[in-house]
Amino acid sequence: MIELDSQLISKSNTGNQVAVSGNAALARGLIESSVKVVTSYPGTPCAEVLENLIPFGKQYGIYIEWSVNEKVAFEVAASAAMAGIRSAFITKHAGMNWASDSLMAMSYAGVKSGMVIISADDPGALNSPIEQDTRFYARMAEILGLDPASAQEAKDMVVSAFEISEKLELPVFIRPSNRILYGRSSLSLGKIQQSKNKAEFYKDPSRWIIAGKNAVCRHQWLHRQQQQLRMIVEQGPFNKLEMKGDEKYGIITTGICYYYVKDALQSLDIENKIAILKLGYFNPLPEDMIRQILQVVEEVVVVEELEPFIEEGVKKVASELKKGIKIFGKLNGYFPETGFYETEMIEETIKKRWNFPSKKSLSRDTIKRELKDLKLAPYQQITFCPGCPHRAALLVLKRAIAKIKGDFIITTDIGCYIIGVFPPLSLLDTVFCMGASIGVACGFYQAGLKQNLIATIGDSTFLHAGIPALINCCYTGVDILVYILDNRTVAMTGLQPHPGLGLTAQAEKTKVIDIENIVKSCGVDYVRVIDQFNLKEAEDVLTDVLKMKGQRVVIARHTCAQVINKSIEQNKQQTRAYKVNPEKCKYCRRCIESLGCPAMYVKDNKVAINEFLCGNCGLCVQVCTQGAIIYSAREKNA
Amino acid sequence: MPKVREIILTGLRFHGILKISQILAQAAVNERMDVKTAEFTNEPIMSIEMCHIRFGDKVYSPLISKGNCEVFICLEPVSAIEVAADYLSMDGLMIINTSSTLSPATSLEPVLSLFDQLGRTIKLDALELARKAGNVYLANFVMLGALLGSKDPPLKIENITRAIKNIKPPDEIQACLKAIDFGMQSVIKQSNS
Repeated sequence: MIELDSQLISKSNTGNQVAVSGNAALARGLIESSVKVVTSYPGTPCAEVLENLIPFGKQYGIYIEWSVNEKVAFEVAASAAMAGIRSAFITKHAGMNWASDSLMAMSYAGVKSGMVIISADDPGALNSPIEQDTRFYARMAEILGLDPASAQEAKDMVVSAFEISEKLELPVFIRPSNRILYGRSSLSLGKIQQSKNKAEFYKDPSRWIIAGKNAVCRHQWLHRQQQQLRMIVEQGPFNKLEMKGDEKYGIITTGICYYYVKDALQSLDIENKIAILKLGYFNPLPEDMIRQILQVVEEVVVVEELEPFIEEGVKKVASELKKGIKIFGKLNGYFPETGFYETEMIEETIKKRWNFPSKKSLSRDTIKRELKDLKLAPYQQITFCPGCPHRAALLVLKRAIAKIKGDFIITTDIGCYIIGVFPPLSLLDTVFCMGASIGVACGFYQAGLKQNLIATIGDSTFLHAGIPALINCCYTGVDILVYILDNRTVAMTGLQPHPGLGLTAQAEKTKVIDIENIVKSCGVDYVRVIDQFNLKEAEDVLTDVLKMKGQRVVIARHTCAQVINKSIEQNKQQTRAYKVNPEKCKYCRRCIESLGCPAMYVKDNKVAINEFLCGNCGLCVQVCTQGAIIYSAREKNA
Repeated sequence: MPKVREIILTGLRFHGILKISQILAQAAVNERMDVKTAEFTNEPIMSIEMCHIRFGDKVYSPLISKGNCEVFICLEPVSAIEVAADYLSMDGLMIINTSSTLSPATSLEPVLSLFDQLGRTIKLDALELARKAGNVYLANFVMLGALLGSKDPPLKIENITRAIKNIKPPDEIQACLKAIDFGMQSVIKQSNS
């Protein structure tokens, strides 16, 4: 998908119309703004901003970095802007938590050239472990916050944000949401600017030493900047007030919800009866704009995803007006407090609250009941890809645990391996956030739990957040097996490189940061690398290791099946798939039940393998006790 | 109210429905229309993908409201029926690939007859047609052809071709166009018989 978007945003001329994703639109905004340093750690739904930028980084002289984690990424981008070079830091909401430590200090110092922070929120947690509202970070750091309603606005906001950032010497925060990033829309391209900025660092301890008295002085400076920010949010081009002046009802909304509101009003055929204030800025809140609509209407509905950030602001403004205005939103139960919004939900609330006539209801209840009887549910189950190394790694772990009949708690981390929580493996006990597997296990140990502890963590996650926790284990003497599932990529977010691979974001060779050596220097008692696809040997190693005490690390190293598929596709290689010999298959179902491989299915009371899906890993051959699974040629790959 | 065309595509990841949504979106822009799409995808994990595509003079939200979908295209019938029941409009059309990847062995008859109860259907074996066009991975283009062959196709074929030329390397374009043609012919044949 990325290939076409990249070409459209990089080659097309000013004024051209293209249809690209929100991520590509943001990337185009960065190109138009002549950004020179862009950093991030891979995270959905915004990993594709960098993916779209990478093919053209060199052409536009942009340095692009997948950093080891978001805190470092933020520091790289912020300091480039302190040195006078335009920069951007892109992160998903959870990554903003990591970067927040640096953000709080560095917003006191400010920047010399433009810096834009893009923090993607994920209402409904569609691509994340959690759904949090990162708008609060802009408020905490006292910087300008923008919320785009479309891909076009996202791009235009990036261009505008750089200008503001440079003028006020403060980073600017843009918060797009998943629905804009994962979806395409028509985008009108703007002019690509040429930057004349040169890298220079002016030594000035009163500005760059953020500590003690200096910190308070700079905090005062930050507060003085607020006056200008308040003017920008009132006059800027991204708010839109649609009001004739005689409306009884009004809606205040922001981001993608603006378009849900527009569709809902169109569907109810009341487009001209309701005043709408669409806010493009959320920090500081455009209070004058809000006052304008509140002075006209008697009742107002506030529509925003995640926290009632704007709703609380509207309440404050309304209370100052002393007009007895009624406000409906999340706080009084008119909208859900969690999850993503849809047009229907808004239509329903407006209809109910303001008594507009209802459309005829569409229902297919009988068919839905029949569907339930068909029991289609199993197909919706999430499983590992065919050929996934995590399936093998967790299978050998499960077998080793069964062998020694011990009682274990398995904490895990952020990565594809969390699928191991579902059947047939049903293996994992806790998942929270980056690096928490090891830290959580430390706490369980110190609490005196009797069970043995295993922490599973991915290669990139270990480098991102696992190292300090492993040092903590060794320092405090926790009995633990840390099982590093090293699939040689950041798989879940679309196969990005990490420091363990010897490749940069821009596909240049670099030093390999060796996980095994890091683990050793953390002070562990035992470390061993295994290939989990050799089931017997891997199982024996794990069985022995589980019986030991102290800090043990086993690294299960095997390349991600998606990476292998990609290279097969690129090289147009002929591949083979496995096949079941129906004469030998005794239909014991051992393969299906232990592996849960999506390529395996049942046909005429025999197991069969879908050659379209087979990942060519050979795990089933090792699991089958009848020797019924064999190698075969398959059709040419696309 | 100006007409907005509303299409939903569903399939498994390797069916490549996002590629088709990309082509439709670019073709709509080529026809000087406003377009928005919403992609429900879970990157590399084996799962069902869905894409909402809306285009017309002016498009607000990328999401199609339940009961408003005009054409529902599914590459994997078993996973799609529940979504179709939610989104399809009362006079909507469904274009269904009859070769299921998830359950190639179990009989699809009960599922397919439920589709018939939901509304108008066009059924075709997209995998088989794709194979004939040279490659099973072109099933998505066969389905695109079926859409173009249906009554009142939403976009002009020359704009679709232009969009494909942007996305595919020259040596693959012919196979894509062939797959589209097979899909179109199959639908035209069905409507004539």
